[in-house]
Amino acid sequence: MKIRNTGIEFVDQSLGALYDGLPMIFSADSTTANDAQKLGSLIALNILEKGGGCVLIYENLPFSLAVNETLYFHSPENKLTLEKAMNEGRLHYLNIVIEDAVSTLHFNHSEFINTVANDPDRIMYEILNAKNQIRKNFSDIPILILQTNISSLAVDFGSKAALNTIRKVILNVKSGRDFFLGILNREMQEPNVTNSFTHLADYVLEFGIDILGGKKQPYVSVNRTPLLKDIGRKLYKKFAYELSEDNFYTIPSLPTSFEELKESISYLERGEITAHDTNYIITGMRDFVHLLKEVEKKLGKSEYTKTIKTVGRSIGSHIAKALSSQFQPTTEELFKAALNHLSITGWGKFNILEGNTNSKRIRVEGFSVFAANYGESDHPVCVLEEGILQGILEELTSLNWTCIEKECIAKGDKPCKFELELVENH
Amino acid sequence: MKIEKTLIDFIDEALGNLDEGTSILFVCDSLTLNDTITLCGLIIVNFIKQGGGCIVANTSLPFSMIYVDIKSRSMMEELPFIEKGAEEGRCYYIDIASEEAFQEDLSNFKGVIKINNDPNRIIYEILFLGDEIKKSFPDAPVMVWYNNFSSSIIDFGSESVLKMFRKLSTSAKQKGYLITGLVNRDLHDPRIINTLMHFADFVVELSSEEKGGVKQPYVRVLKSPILEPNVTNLQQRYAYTLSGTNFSTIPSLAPVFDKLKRNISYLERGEVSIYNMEYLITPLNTFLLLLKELEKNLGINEYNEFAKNFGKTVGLEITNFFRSKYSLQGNELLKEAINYLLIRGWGRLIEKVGSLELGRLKISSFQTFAYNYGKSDHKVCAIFEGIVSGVLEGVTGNKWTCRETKCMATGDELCEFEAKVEK
Repeated sequence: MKIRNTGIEFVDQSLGALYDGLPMIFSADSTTANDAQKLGSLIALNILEKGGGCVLIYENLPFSLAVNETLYFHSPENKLTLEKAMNEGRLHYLNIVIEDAVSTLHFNHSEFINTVANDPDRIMYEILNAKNQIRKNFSDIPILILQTNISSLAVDFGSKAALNTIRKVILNVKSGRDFFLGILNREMQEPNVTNSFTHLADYVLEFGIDILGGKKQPYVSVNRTPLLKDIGRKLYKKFAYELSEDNFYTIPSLPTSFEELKESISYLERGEITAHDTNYIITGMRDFVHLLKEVEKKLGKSEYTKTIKTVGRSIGSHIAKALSSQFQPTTEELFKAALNHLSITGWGKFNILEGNTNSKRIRVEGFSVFAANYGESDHPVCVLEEGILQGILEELTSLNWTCIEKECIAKGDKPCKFELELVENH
Repeated sequence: MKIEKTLIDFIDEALGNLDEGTSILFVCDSLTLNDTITLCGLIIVNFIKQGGGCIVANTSLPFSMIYVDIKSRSMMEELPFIEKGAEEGRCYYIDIASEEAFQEDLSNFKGVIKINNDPNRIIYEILFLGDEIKKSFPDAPVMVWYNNFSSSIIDFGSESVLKMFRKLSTSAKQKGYLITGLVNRDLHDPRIINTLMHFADFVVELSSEEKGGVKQPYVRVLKSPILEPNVTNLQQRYAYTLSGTNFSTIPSLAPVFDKLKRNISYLERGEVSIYNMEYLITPLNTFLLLLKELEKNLGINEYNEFAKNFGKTVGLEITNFFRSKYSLQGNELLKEAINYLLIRGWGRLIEKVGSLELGRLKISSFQTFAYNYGKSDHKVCAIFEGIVSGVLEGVTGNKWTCRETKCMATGDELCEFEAKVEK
């Protein structure tokens, strides 16, 4: 039996596929350690759900706490998966923090919850023993060994002993068809110790916190992908992420001021310009206007409007999603932040003239750099901006809106004025 | 029999000839570890192909994993050389992370030696196998690849491993072997790295630097053999690309971009200005969405024609701008026009073959548009085809055609364009 994916899209994309003997490490800081643990638990649950085996070692949590807090997130489905795996003997839990036996009794097969003395050799022995127990009944399933806090091992026994233990576990995993996943808090050790742990793994995810615009933004980045695959290289950058009860996904992030954008924008020698993990193009506004004019000529006004609005709505939706991931402010503040984003990236300055995200009608006015470069026109030309504004609002409110440009600089008006209206469902 | 080159241009230019007894150390960081293993692997495979003997001591990679990697890197042509080398007793793999069972198709593979993870045993095995190779192939030079010192330092401590490397490099000098080793600098005290470097004759560093949340890998030579005067600028860092079996360096354009970046300013009406012209700094996704939607609307053929025509006018405008503003001509004008595009996020020219005078050019480039397009069954860089033909027409005054012959969106390593003057 083969299990080839973790069920977490981001991990599967950057990893390629789970393969026999794969060692993985998630390196987190103190703030993101819980997220890394939860992601590890999600992967373990997915493997159990697919019929695989697991040996779980939570160095700091007794089974009763681990099971509630990080293993099934209070989700009945996850609990069922755990119970089924434990009843079948596919799941072993090494309980290093000794607890009252009563607390584990609500699981029928508590014989698979093994109390283990906190000693590196004993832990190593119990891991191998648990693996063998699973193998006896399920000879062909892959087994994940999940150690959720290898930093605690280093605290208890010193970094050298902890490194040796993990190295032995990993060599053992490599010689078979199993997987290893260790979670590490890199703030608890010297960098060279942390790097030694990650050096042992084929796949390394880093969790951390960035400060953007004075606010904390958790990120994840892929620091190592298996030798066999180049696919992860594209993901060697930071991603904002969201962690829910049963999924983990990444979201692009955006700079919130021009200074921040200018500071972070960087050139990669393959010809990529990046800022905040997003690829950018620096394009002359005249060239851009020229492109859209040619598209309009080619498609005709009606088809052009339809196509460009669709594109604009997607761009607006991306902007709103990215900003929502960074902060948790009100929808109104997010709308203003989105208008500010347009301004700092060169679209022009837009302000809310009337209404708010709770009203049915919003009027926005602004200096559109696109319109200012368009030349004279007998009709409003900011179709893309119409789409962007509409897309932002639709994403933020989860409702349908329309956006029409009423006045346009290209027509001789000053400034451009847009009217956004909520589409009422009858 | 002499093997003088590794067949990796960057290494050969910096190292000169592969002299007997030379010890080569690759120093990397955690991010570039895989690239370094791959680069060393390419050197070993090239050495075997040229008839050399080899001993690979691998602390962390079971043989089956390396074997799968060789196959997945389109090295099918090289594989028979490796198999022949193993069959003849010219190539050995010391498998320290030995696995319970080989994959079925590897069960008859000769030359794989499984040993215990012990420093004395490893040294003994390397020297013993070296003697075995020399018995059967007295003329063949022998290369030893130790992958990697960092894992051994975790296992045995730095003192033991430094002694191991010292023994290996002195034995190599006595017996005329070549030694290649790699170490991950992120794991160790700088003194350990410096000591390893001290014992080596030639040291190459692969490292990475974070830029805008993305990690950019670099390579440079830190130490060259005492007799080799070739390397004049040891501190020059090069970005590199490594794909399949190709390792190539890219000269830096970062200073040109830094100048552009310094001149980006923000005007209070929401205008982003560079050199008094208004610019958009927009995610690449804007163009991906726009051009994909257009392609869907027009169909591939009509879209390609439209994109080529539009690209051509852009190419002509760029050259007209540089000619009128800086009075540039010929190759200088071509270089500036191409750099203009390359530092604006569209990609990077990796190789140019041919010349304006010949009326024929082949351009290989990394295209961000194609790289991020997603999988496609057709080539997607029509707009760039147009830009290239427009720039060439602007530079020479003659009409050029440009055709994309390879595209990253269809799975090629780079995009390739062939341009020729119209007759």
